[in-house]
Amino acid sequence: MKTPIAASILLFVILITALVLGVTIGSVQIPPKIIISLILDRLSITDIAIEDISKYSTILFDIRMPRVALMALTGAALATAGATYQGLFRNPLADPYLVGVASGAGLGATIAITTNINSNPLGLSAITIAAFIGGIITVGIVVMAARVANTTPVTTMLLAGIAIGSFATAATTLLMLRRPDGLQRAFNWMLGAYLGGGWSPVKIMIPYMVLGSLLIYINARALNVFQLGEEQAQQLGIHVERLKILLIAAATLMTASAVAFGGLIGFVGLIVPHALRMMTGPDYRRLLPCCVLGGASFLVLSDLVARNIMAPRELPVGIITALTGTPFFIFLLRKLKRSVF
Amino acid sequence: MIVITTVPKSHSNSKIFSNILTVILILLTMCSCKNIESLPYLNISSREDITITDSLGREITTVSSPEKIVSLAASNTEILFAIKANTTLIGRDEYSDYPLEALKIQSIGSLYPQVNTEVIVNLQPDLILAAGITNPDDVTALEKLGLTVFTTSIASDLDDIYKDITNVGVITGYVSNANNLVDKMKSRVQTVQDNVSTYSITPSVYYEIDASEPSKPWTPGNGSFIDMLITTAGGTNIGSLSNDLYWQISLEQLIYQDPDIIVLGSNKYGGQTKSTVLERPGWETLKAVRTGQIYEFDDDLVSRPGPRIVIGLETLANIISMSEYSQ
Amino acid sequence: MDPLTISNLSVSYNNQTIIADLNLTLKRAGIVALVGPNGAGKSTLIRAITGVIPPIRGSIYLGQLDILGLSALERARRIAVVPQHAPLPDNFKVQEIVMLGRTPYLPLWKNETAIDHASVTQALQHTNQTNLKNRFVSDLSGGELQRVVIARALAQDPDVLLLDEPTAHLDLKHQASILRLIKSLATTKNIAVLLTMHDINQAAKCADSVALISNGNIQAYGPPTDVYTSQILSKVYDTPVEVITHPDHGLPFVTIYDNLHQEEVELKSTIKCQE
Repeated sequence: MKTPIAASILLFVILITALVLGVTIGSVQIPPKIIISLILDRLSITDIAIEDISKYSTILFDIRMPRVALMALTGAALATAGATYQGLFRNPLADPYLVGVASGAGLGATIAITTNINSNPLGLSAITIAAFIGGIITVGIVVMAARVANTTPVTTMLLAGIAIGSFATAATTLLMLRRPDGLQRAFNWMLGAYLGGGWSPVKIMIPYMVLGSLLIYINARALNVFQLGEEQAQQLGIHVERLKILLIAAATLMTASAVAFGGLIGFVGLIVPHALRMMTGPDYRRLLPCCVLGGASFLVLSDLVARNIMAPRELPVGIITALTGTPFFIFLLRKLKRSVF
Repeated sequence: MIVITTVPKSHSNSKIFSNILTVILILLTMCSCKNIESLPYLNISSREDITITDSLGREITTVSSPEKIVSLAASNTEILFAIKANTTLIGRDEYSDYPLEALKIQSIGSLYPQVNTEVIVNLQPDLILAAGITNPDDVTALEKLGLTVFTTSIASDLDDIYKDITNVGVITGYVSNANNLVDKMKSRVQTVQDNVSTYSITPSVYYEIDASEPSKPWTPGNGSFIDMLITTAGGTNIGSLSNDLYWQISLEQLIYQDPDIIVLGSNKYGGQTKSTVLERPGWETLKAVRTGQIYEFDDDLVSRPGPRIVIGLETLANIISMSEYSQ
Repeated sequence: MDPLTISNLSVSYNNQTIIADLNLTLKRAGIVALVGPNGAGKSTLIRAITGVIPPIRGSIYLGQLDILGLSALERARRIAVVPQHAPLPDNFKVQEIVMLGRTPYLPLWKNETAIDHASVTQALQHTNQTNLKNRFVSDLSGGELQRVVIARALAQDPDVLLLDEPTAHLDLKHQASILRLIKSLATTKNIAVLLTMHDINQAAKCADSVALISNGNIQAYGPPTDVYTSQILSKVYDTPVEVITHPDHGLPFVTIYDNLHQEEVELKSTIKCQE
């Protein structure tokens, strides 16, 4: 197996490649020479006369780059949150949407859509904000519902998450049926949030991403110990309750922002951590940074395919992640001799 | 700015971690260095600018007589062709299929999951026409890129459509064509209304929007556009039982209402035909089925707020007068 | 060196009092076996000492140090436990599991240092597992797994070592080697050892003192010869027992009282009388 450093370097290279491809390939063909001169100009290294190529400048800097950045952040957030939930619940089936974030975000978005809020506070659509708040509130309810005398047993959380998540989904469906004029829009949102928002979603998402992943990374070693089970972890000195709440808060923050800005993209949060774990082993100090790199690369590449394979039509990213990711993952599983989790 | 001092130094992977953060920050600086400049290709020359308020209540300023227009909705494409402004049309959405010449114009793809901004920017349009059904996020995104977007209304009645056509005429510079079109439309509508006022019977109509679930088909409700057209065409819409703009009526309720006429707006996109209706279990009890009063209908005629709305009205009026319950 | 002194400890769980007013002292380099019937409170006592179930009353002192007042981290530096059920994740290597024992010495943001690696190496040596250190948990046998958990506990550098049924589910060979290991660790590392055991005869063999617990309290404490009398044991286990002195090593040997033959004899004599 590869050494840990080799794995990180490989992933880093993949990410850079993905970013470059994502920015240079799109529905509109831009000659590479122009791309390079535009970038040099933007970095104020050289100056070129922008006339006919100003449209390329717009496409490159105002459409493609923010889109690629958004996908990179979303992928990194989902993969990292997924890995965290898998470690927290000690369950290989855990994904970032497990405790109700997705359903809550969907409900929030649908409420905003059907009440026809059209304001744009902070340069963000009200739908995005409502989705974010919906996700956070739902997880908060789940955690509180699962509390048993100062502890939050993970199994109870799982069950509460499923129950409350189903409730939110049902409420969403009901809303959508009662207000069918919002139905198309709400349904579109479920399949993928509006991805053409420019740089503002990216700028807003970055702090959540950074904060969340740092919080989790600091606790990476504790998360390793947590794999022994709560009782053994406590007997080894881990403050188990505090760790659980902290990890859930951080992971939920990242997931809620990923869902609100990047939409409900499945598969990334579940499969990418597993695939990477095959390379890095179970140590979360190695796995988490790789999830950032690997999740970002995977989603950027999937989005690249989604945008271009049927240009000028665009496919929802979630379809591509499932279609391409599944066979690759099964291939990896077959190659591995020992159980992954 | 983000401080990365808390990341442990001894672990090699944390360096990679901070590297990726640096990449993100570089991307950020690249974009925030310069703000969006006004796009010089817009080339606002000595021609006069027009300011007009669109249906969202916003003031839109554009050059008079734009030379390059992109249409995001079939209804607006039809309007452009009807007022002979189609020579300026350089891009259309994929649903713009009428008239046939529209198909020759470059498609900008589907509007789902979002409009393809790259392709539109590449066309460098002077003006983009959006419709009431266009996703507001798409409008915002296009405007953020420096493009001019004019939005027509969601059209709850015919007056809204007349106003939209007039506005499109003003903003494209084809004012007199637009006014003539509106006049013609008004007179045709008047003719229908005059004919209808002579009818002694008002047959009941069931208009089918979608019947993917034949036990709970979708139908327009009270106050909806189609409901208004049906009434103007001389019928009563049994869907007006509900005040929802459109809703699912149960088969039971439908049987109870027992409409005189069935109009299959579900034909063009839903594939419903007279024979498929005959196959639906339980539907054979309906009077309209037994008497064969089932009419396949092109729903584009009533769902696109454009010039063909009068054809839709006229067709409905014909169906209603043709059914054996009219004079 | 400081013993572990448990005084007046009361522990309840699910509104039931499991342990009531318990007193026990564990001396360094000594092994105390905790025996008693099911539900007497053996596992609960261990969990109370490690902090999993906080006691409602009483105190636990390591010398002058109040154990119950310590944080989980501080406590884990002094008290290590080898639980009865210690599921280990399959994809960890032996070395990594043992390194987890150093957790109490590593604050959140620090990574392992040379000291920690040395401690792990030593722990593996003591448990004779140096050659296994790169094996995955999934490839180990029951006995080897038990040793790994013991090594992990050793890496904690504890003053007190608690083992809950360390020989359960092990075959005789592994039982023997585990018990030998525990004995040597107690003396070489100067640890106070408390182990719970189902098999009271095995307990007698490996421990210096036996604590007999029943109904949440210590009914008898001392060397096996003092504690294992048929009077005490029959009462505690609620069934007649026989205590023999083993001819070789002089330790008491306990079996259930064989009255099965007795009933047969009585039946035969009843039948004979009737004939």
